[in-house]
Order: sequence, then C-alpha cells, then structure tokens
Amino acid sequence: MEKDYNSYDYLSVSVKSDQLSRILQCYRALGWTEIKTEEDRQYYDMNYVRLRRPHKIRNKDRLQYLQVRMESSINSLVAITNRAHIKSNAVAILCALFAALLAAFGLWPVIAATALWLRALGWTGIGASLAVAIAAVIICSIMRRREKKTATGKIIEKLRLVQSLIEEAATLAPAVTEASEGLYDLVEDDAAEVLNG
Amino acid sequence: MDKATRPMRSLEDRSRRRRQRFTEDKLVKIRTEHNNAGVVRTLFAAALILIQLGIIVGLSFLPALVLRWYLLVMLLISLFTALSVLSSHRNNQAKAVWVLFILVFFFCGFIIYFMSNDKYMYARARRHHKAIFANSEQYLPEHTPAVCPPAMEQQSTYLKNAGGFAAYNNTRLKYYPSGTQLFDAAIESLKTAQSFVFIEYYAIADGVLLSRIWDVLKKKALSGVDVRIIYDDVGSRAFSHEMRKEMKRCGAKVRVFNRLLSRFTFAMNYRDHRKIIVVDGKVAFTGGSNIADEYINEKHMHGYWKDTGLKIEGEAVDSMTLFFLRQWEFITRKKCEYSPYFGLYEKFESPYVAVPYVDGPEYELTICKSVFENVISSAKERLYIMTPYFIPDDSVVQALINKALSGVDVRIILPSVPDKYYVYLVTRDNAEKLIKYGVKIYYFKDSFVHSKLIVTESCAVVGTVNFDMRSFYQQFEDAVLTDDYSVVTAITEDCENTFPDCDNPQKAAKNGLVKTVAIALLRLVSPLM
Repeated sequence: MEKDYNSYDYLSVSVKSDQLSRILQCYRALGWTEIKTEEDRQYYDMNYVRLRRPHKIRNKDRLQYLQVRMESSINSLVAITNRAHIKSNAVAILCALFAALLAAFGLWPVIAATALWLRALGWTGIGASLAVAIAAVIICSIMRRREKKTATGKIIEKLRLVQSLIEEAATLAPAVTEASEGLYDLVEDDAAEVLNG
Repeated sequence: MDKATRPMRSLEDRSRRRRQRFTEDKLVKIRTEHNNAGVVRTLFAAALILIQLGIIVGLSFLPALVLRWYLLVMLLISLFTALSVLSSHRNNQAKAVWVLFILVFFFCGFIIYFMSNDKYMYARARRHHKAIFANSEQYLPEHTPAVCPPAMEQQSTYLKNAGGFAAYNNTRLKYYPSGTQLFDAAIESLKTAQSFVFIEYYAIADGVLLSRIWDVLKKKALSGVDVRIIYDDVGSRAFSHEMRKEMKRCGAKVRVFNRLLSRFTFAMNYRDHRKIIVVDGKVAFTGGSNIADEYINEKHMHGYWKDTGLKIEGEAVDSMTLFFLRQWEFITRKKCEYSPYFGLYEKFESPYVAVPYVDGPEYELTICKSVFENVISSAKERLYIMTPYFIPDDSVVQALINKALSGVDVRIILPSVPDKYYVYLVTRDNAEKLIKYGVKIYYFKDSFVHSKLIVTESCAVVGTVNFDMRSFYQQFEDAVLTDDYSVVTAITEDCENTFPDCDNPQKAAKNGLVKTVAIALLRLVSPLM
C-alpha cells in the first residue's frame, strides 16, 4: 500500500497474539487506526500490526508521550511477572544446596564409620539437613506469598497507570473515543486476573 | 514419537522461535530499525585509530631496547610537557587528566599530547577560519543598532566583543516545544522557498522526516532554488549514499563536515553539532532536533524524545545565514558570495533583543560556556535548564550552587532514559550532587530529554549547546540568546508542564562500589564525553 507520509503518521508494532485486542484498543484511544494485521513473520506468537493516524492530529506531542509511557508500562508487566519470585527462588536454591551438603556429610559417617559418636554426628547432620529443608519450604512459601502480593501491587499500579494514560489520551483525541470505549473494564479485568493468580 | 513421524518444523518457524528470546519480555514491540552499517563503519574507524595508537606506543618504546638512556630522556621530556600543561589555559580537569596521562605513559604520552593539541594540530584550520571571518565581515549589511534593556546589555556586549555577534531588535521568535512541531513549521517554510535553502545539521538520517523534507526540497532544487546541505560525518551515519546521490542528481549541493578519516588527529573530535535551516534569508530555524526520525518520535529509540526549537524571522536571520556561509566556505575552500544572501528578511518592529551566536574551535574563547555562566548569574527568581547531558566544569557547577543558595529556584530537567549509559552515569551523579545545595533535579519519566535550553525570568538561550565539556570546548555549536517575552514565557510554561511528569529525587542516590569506581574512571575522560 502506498504510504502518504505528508498526511499520515504510520506505526508498526508486533503484539503478543493473546493481547492483541486489548492493546489495539489502547492504540485506538491514542488516535491510531488499524490498517493491517497479520501473523508476524519475524517473531513467534506475535501479530504484526500496521496503524496510521492523521499527521496533524491535535495534541500530538502529548499523545506521543502518553503512547511511549503506555508501551513502557505494558511491557513492564511481563518484566514484573518474570522477576516476581527471583529472591525466593534464590533462597530455595541456596537452602537446597546447604541441605544437600549437610545430608552428604551426615550420610558418609552413617554408612562408613564404626565409631558410635561419628554415627551419631552423621545422624545429626541428616536431621539438620531435614530441618533446613523444612525451614526452607516454610520460608520460601512465606516469601513467595509476599512476593506475589508485591508483584500484584506493582501490576495493579501499572495497569492503573495505563488506564489513566488511556483515559487522558481519549480526552485529547476525542474523534476516536468511541474506539476506546470499554477499555476501563478491560483494564479492571486484567487486574482481577492478576489478583486471582 | 520417533524421529521419522515427528512433524518437522519449518526453517522459518524455527528461526522465529530462536528470535523469540528477544521479545519474550515484551507484549508490544515497537519496530525501531538501527543503522547497523553506520555503527560498523564507526567501529571500524575506531579500530583503525586504536591500531594507529598502538603503533605509536610501540614505536616510541622501541628505541628503549637499544638505548639505555632513552627512557630517562623520555621521562624528562614528559616532566617538561607536564609542566607546560599545568601552565596552559586549559580547564583544571583537562589539565589534571593530561598530566596524569603524560606521566603514567611517559614513553609516549607527550607525543600523543602534542599530536592532539589543537594549538598545533588545528592551527592551519584556525588560520583558514580567520581569513573567512575577515572576508565575510565586509559583506554584512548595516542593521538598525539594537537597543538593549539593562538586563541584556552586558550579555549582548559580551557576545559582540567575544565573537563579533550582533544583537538585533526587529526580530520575531517562536518557540517549539517538540521536534515534531519544529519540523512541521520548517517544512511549511521550505515550501515557500524561492531563491535559496541552507541546511546545516549534525545528524541527518534516512527516514520519514528526511523523506518529508526531501519531497519539498526536491521540487525546489529542480526548479532552480539554491539548496545547500552540510552534514557531520559522525552524526549522519544513517544518511545513505543513495540519498546523497539523489540529492546531488537533483541539483542540491551536499557537503560533509570533517569526514571520518581514520587517522589519529584531535581534529576528528571536532564535530559540527550545529542545527541551522535558513530559507531565503527570511526565516531560520535552530534547536536541538536533528533530521532523523527519533527526533519527531517517529521511532522510539530511548522512550519519548523531548526536543525543542526556535523559528527566527526578521533581522537576526542574517546572522544565521552568515554562520552557514562561513562554514560552507570553510568546507568547500572556495570563496563564497555573501552579499546576495543578506538583507532579505521581512521588516517589522520589535523591541526585544535576539543575539544568534556560534561557538567552536575557530574561537579562542569558550563562548557558549560563558553565555551560560552569564545567564546563570543574571537569574534573580528562577533558572530552568533542560539538557540531555550534565557534565559541566567546576565554574558552571559553582555558579549553579551559588544561585540555589541565594534563593533562586534552580531546576534542571534531565532524561530518565539514557542514550549513552556511560554518559548518563556521570550526568546523574553530577546532578544529584547539587540536590543538597537546593538545586531541584527532575528526570522526565520514560523519556530522553534532548532539549538544550536555559531560561530565567528575563532571558533564555535555545540552541544546540549541551551542558557538557564537548559542547563547551570542542564542538561547533549555535544558539540564540533572547529576552523575547513570548519565548521566555513559552519556555517557562513548557518546563512547568514537564515537571509533573518528572521524578524529583530529594536526595542523591547511593552508588555501589562498582558504580562509584566506574564514575570515577569516567570522570577522567569526561572532557571527551
């Protein structure tokens, strides 16, 4: 399709397939109109979307700024989810290694030693390793619950930010507000989805 | 499932899955094509420079294998060189770095120092500049003598005496708070061009913006309008050979400034950072924006790109034309016609003062830095600064601290997304050190602030000058100093509209050991940043 750069601005984005409709609604609120959607040839599980909007759209600077913040916030959702359990995972790995080490040092005298005190020491090591493992499970599960709460809080914050950005965009680009109708509910749904785990 | 019955994934599918790792942390991926050919070219040039540097070091060390007293002689020469550096007129930080370098690398440091000393290596070019200045001065038409209010009197006198920059009254200025608005206005002006269009830009890159501009310029060039373009070879890595060929084919004159030759001279460090468009001697544009898609947010390289610019109409346009023509003569090494391009501006009356000025290695004084210092010292109520980089020397930092301690509302708007991480580290560290003295630091969220401006309650400077050593000491820059009420108000409003979208730290962030060491090392090379 012939591009008219003097009358329109064009935007090409690759969007995760399962988020396509939601993200497109955000772009519509920013004044963009979809002109082409197809499976992305470059990236797996993504859709390639081509959008355009009038070059001389009102409040363009602000819309551009809101768009960048929206994209950054949406992308940060994945980063928050991916990094949610980094600390608890690290603690779990360290505890597992420590417990394994204790168990190994405990098993060796139990199997190989004849002296009673050495065997007792071995059993103590095995007991300690079990205690470490149980403690790790408890600590990690508490940590994971807290991390989940923190991540959920961050995600809700980001979703609220996206919501406020899009609401502001809708007031700045009134011609396309119809396209963004129902967006508020979608964002609320997303938050609920996250809250429900 | 055995191997024979397992469905074979197509090569394309497997390739897409492999690339997936680049997008797995993203729900939305904006397509921002980088110019890899340009980057490769720069890296190649850098590698050649390093090889040459290696050869210099190797050759300077070689005689030591044969002559025992050689290193002693080199050490003595280094000591004398270090003394001469200390007694030179460089800024203290540069002196300290050079002395350290010369003494540590005593067997070759002084050779590199002399090779990179602009006093010797740029002397010929400076003589050329002086000849051009002398030649062009006589063609400047007489202007109405500017009447400056007391607040501007001192600053305009400084610019007159330091670089011969004229102050003008009858000038109309318009401030643009974004690159998008600036270039929309510039393209509208280009459409009206009838006799000449002069364009001087640090970065010109193929893309949507250049296509829009070239759509207009092509018609003009083909219809006989004198279209001249100067671009910097380092900044314009993404300005393709095909595009330049097309421009030349249509009759536009395209010249490169300081071609990126791979030889080790300090002159390579002098880049043309100016941004000037002059249309028919009637309208001129300047500001932070270059001709590339990221400057109009067509591409999102580093978040939202905040830039600013200025449209100049009236008498002051002659100065912008003069700056361009001087640079043109310097590059082409051919005598330039000056008189046909002056005095073409629209005549009207305005009481405000506008002083366009330039700076660069052709001037002995550090004009841009001094103008900033003068503006800072003139602030009585407020002082707002927007800059992408904040690596000034001690005198500017001290001036800012003094103002903040005197009760002036000093605020600096900086990017929150870096374009060069190593520069950003030093920028943040420098800026946050000022917080305890009352300077307010603002990081524009999810954005790269590329605007270069300073505004007080009575005057403003908009141009290409960053708050860093490169802009103060090494690059060719341009800017406009004005007391135009509409410009001062518009800039103040722009800053005040930006503050709510900024993070405003109340104390300096604590750096870890690695960061502290990295910043200390980066400070050593900060004159080059």
